[in-house]
Parts: sequence; C-alpha cells; structure tokens
Amino acid sequence: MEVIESRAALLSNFEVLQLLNERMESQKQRQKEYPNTEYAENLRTIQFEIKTALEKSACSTQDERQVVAFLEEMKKWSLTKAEKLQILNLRPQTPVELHILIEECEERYTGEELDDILEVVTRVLPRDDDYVAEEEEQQEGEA
Amino acid sequence: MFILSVLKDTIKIEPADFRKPKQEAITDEVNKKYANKVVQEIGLCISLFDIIEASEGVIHHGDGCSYVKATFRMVIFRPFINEVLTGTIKSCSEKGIRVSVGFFDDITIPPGCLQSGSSFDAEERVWIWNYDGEKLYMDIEEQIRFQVLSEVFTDTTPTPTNIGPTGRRQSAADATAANDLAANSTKIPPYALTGSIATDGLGPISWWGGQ
Repeated sequence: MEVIESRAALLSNFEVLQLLNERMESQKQRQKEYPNTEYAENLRTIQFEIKTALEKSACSTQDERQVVAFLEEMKKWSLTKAEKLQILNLRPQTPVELHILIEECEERYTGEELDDILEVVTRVLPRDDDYVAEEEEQQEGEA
Repeated sequence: MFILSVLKDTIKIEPADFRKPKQEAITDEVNKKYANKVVQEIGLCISLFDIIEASEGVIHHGDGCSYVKATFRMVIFRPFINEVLTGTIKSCSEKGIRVSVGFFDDITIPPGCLQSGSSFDAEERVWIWNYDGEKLYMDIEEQIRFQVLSEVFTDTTPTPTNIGPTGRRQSAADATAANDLAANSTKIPPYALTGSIATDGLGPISWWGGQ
C-alpha cells in the first residue's frame, strides 16, 4: 500500500451519512439480485456503527439544499473551512459553544455577530426538537 | 471528523468475483481489506469513496486471481487537532475518563485535562467538577463534548522481539498460553486520541444548556 495524499479533503458528517446510506442501499439491492453475495463483516460493522452514531447527531436532518444555503450564508463572516465544518457538524445553539469552535473568537467577532451566526444556524438548519422548545416557551409566555 | 485520503494498492480479485463489473469487484475488495482498520499515520478507514485509476488486471502464473493496481479515495476517521467532538462517557477511573464516539472508543481524557477543581470519587467511581461549591457529576453514558488534544499511532504488528523466547521448541500449549498473556497485557490501541475538557463549553452537554 502506498499513500498518495493523506489529507485530500475534509468531509462533513452529512456527506458521510449520505454516502453510507447510498452504499448500504445498493448493497441490499445487489444481495437481492445475487442472494449469495456476502459483504465482509468488518465493513458491515463499521457501516452500521457510523450510521447509528451519525443518526443521533445534527446531520441526520440535513439535506443538500440546507448545506448549500448554510455555506452561502456563512460567507459573510470569513470563517475558516474547519470552523464552518464544525459549525455544520455540531450545530451550536449557545454562544459558549461558538467560542470553542472559533479560534480567537473574542478578537474576531462581537457578541452581536455571534448571535447572528447562531440565528443563521437555527434558521438554515432547522430541527424538529427546536420547534418543541420554542413552542414550550410560547406556551409559557401565554400562561 | 472525517477526511478523504488517496491510497494506492494492488488489489486481488478472485475468479469467483469475475462475474462482477470491475469497479464493483475493486470496491468490494478494498472495503474487505480496509474497512474498520487503522492504517498507521492515516487513521481509521471507513469505506471506499471512489476509484481514481485502475490498471488492467494481471494474472500470475500458478494463480487464477486477477491483480489490479488501483488508486482510490478512502473515507477516514481522523479528527484534526483541536477539533471538537461529542461522544458518550464509557468509564471513569483514577487515570481519567474514557470516551466513545460510537464507532471509535480509544479516546482518553486524562485528569490533567479536566476542568480545574475536578476530583475523583473513588467510591462511586465517577469524576466530579467542584464548581462554585456545586458538585457536577460526569456520569457514565452521559453525552460529553471534548476537544482533541493529541493523537498517537502505535504499530501493533508482531515483531520478532515480542514473539517470545526461543532456544527451546515451544509446545502448542506454551504458545497458546503465551499468546493469551500477550493479548491480555499489550492492549495498546493502534490509534488513540487524547481529549481535553478544560475550557468553558466543554464537558457533559447538560452542563452548558443547549441541546
């Protein structure tokens, strides 16, 4: 084995989950066509484990459109590639989370800018559990 | 968390797989060889991403297999240093906290990388962060956010030095006993990560609100 390039590109969790879903689907198809087809155990193990782990994370509800929109919106703030990737993967909800994801956060961004970033994250990458929290707040407000 | 690496290798396709299209045969063989394995200085291999180039198959004398030289891209688990990940606490001991991200669990957070003021409760076997007079527990199975501090690759392939003493011919029983011992004592993972939670925002997710 020979290593040509050890870090050719970064992948987001969303891309990995999408790839695995596609692969597992086509493997199932092939097993239907050729019932004798066996896939290596190590492959099945890691595919299953990663799928389970990623389905619990923020990327499970993302789709291509959301990711493209997210990157478009993030252009405003001149974040590095790694920072954008982590914001996409971890989907921060509080300023304290952004502080650990962005290097020298205090010097580069004001509190309002950070709030704007968080607002974009919740708007562009919506999740059902957010709505629950918001509804609860509303109900509390009404009460 | 995940990266793509470009690798080149000679892939052996067995005659039974000749019915498959070439691309499919290479994909299956690469996955069989690399999936869920650690490659030194590369990381934990997950799955083949795509094939960049593949030579014509060559059949050697005395062997019906077809050998193909292929260049391909592999999905690799290799978080960069300072990357923030979330996982679950697997166990606590005096030596620190063991964390798993589901498919990879050779992650340790040593005592020195916990928040200052953390202490270990030997009776309950759990780490506690004493913050402003409050006791915050780091319970097992709790979700934890941590930062990758360093990575270590260890070559765990057998070398002549750890195969055992020679001079006397070993009986089969001796050999199995020695192997069992070796397997028990040398559990050095081929790829291990050291994490840190010594910054605000890191540690069990429940501490910081949010999700």
